[in-house]
Amino acid sequence: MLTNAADPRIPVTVLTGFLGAGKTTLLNRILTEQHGQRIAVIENEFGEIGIDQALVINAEEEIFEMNNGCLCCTVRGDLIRILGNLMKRRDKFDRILVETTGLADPGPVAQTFFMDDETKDHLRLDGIVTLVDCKHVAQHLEDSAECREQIAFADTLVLNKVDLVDGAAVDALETRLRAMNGLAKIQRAHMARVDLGQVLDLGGFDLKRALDINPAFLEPEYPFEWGGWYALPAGESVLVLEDGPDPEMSVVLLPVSEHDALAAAREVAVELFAAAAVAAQPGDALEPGARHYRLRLAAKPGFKHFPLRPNAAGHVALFTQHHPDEFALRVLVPNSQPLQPIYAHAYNPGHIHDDSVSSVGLVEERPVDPFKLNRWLSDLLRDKGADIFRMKGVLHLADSDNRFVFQGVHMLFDGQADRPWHADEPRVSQMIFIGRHLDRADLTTGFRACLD
Amino acid sequence: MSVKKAAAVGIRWAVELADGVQDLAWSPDGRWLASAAVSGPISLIASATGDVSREWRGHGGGTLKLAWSRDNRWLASGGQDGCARVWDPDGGGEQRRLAAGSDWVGGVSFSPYADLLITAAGKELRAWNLDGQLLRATQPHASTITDLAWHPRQPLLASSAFGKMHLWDWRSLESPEERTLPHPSSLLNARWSPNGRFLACGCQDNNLRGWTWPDTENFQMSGYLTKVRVLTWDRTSRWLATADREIVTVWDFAQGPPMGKAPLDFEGPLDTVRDLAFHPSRPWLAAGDQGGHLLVWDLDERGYRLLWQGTLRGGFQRLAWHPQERLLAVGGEDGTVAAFEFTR
Repeated sequence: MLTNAADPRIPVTVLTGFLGAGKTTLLNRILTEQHGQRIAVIENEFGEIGIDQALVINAEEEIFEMNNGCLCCTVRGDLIRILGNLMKRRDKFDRILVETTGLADPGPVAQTFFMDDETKDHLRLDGIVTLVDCKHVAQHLEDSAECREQIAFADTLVLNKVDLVDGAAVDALETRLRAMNGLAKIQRAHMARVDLGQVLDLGGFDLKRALDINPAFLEPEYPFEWGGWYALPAGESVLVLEDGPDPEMSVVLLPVSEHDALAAAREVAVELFAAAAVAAQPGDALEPGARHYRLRLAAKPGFKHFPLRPNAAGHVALFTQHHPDEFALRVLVPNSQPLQPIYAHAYNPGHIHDDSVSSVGLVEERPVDPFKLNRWLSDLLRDKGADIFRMKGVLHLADSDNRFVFQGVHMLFDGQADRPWHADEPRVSQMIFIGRHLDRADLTTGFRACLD
Repeated sequence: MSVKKAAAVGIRWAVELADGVQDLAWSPDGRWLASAAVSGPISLIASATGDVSREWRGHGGGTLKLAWSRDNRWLASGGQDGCARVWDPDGGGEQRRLAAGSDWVGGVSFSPYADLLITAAGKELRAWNLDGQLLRATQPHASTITDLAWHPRQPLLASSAFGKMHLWDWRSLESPEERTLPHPSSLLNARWSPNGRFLACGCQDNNLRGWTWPDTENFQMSGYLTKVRVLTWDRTSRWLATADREIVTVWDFAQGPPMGKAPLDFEGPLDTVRDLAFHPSRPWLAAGDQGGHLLVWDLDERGYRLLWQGTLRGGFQRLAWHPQERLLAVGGEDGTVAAFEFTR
């Protein structure tokens, strides 16, 4: 049996996803696969489990507030009752799976594991698995706050039904979901066929994983998504764009020396993006220099040309508000051949399309003062808890040789000492926040103030 | 099982049942102890000998609650199968199966005033006569009914739920009058004081709340670390014992609801308290915890003292004092049911 040795509590996996995303298929798969675990299932009222399983309990979601009027402190009353009863026969199973209804906000389910002392004493929320119907999720993301929250809350996102859409669309979907939730493992699946190791036993939080899948995750946010460094030849080069998702786009072009190139120009570009823009219609010339251009792309359908002047050879850095691929943006040299940048970099944009749901990761090497941290988190969650969906961390506490792990949901958080740090392991504190309207600078300042 | 300070206490009997104990109920005449296992089976144990005289399969999915009729003739049970069942302890087995609702049947209670069985399934109360006829179903409550409690002197049934206590006046069997008392919290249980003057509730939000009766002034006592899971009144209606996690807190209602007054906190080697029970005629308070500790205190004007302390392997689930004798039945997480006799 797979268990977390540091924590004797029974693990609970929560399965969310819109109707038709494949929750029941995955549930049946988990129950039939040979993993050596005995699983108790709490399914929603519409569930249909086709397995003759002794411990399947039907639940009708009943949500109530824990404290007067605090919407963040809602819990699932039915789960408290059912889990309380299951705990009296905990010798009968090793793990619990909770399936939610398609339209469920995962908040109250997750909060139940933090708010109710009886549940918290005996059970731990191992992970939230969200199934995504690749074909229909784009529409759900537009229409439904619940869908966005299901994505934001997930520890694992299963992109199901990949066979129904083409590969490029799945790639684009994955990029979009990662921008919303930088923490989740992403699995692609057909008929909900996934590696169960990616679905069960998600207990460990590993920021390195988040960094591996999203390198821009720890970086500050920039007002541009992309920067490229070009060596322009003599003669008239042209910036060419096609129709894209936005009728306008901001760009900054800066002359750079051969040595500092992109990194040095970046800070200047940040300032220019904040300054007033000069409108440019297709055909207008763009001059590298201290100017923020707003390209009016809707003025002309199809290809849009912006000549780059003066026509002298030299190095320039180009920063674009959106990724060039979205507009098929390229630089053409005088013989109309496309020019590849010497170096290019994708930046973490300060805005996200999906209702501002984003992730912020923090890493600090100096030990954390637990009292300061507690005070900071309490204040932060009191003020911003409604917008913070999830929070996870592994901390290097002053005066402790053990890792300290914690996680939180909205205004609630809960932590405990974990295994000792390994001798060859760098002692660093890692934290991640997933939520709406997160302010990276604020979170960084706040966390740094907690260092010993 | 081991017993410490047991000079005046002996084990009358102990039996090992199939599964963890979910509920215990003495018949009013004290002849039988009914025990429901969490997985469903219901056993009838003879109080005098400890013989398991009847064993029924109980409810599919699990039995939740037991209740005896006042005349000892019937035992009712509620379970996860959406049914209430009525059993004949004198050998007849299952007599009635009542479709109480589609949800878990968490409440069953015979009226002390008439031949009437009330069932609570999910958000709905139903009233049945003893022929198994449905007399009435109430309007659904706003949320799941958590407990039922009859007023000791009036035909009033209290049903607790999230945000509200409902009081049903059953003078008219067909259409009871309803009164609702709002409370912005999830009420986990309902307990009338034996004199009928106070209705107390443990709450999910770490408070003890309630109302005086009949004037329905509400009261609230705070300071708990967890939700208030168990409550018990003493015979005189003076003491209300409550527990949150490992601390037993006793409130003195001699001058009315003791808001703003310090309660008695009973210290003891207690783990999370699973059940509390006051003896029906003596000021003896028993507490059993999940670590298997059992403590019995004696309360009087001057304070309290530890009367006895015992342990049970596997932890306690339920405690129930015999209605007449000095006999305490305990039900354990491992299926042990035992009766401790207090000879002093």
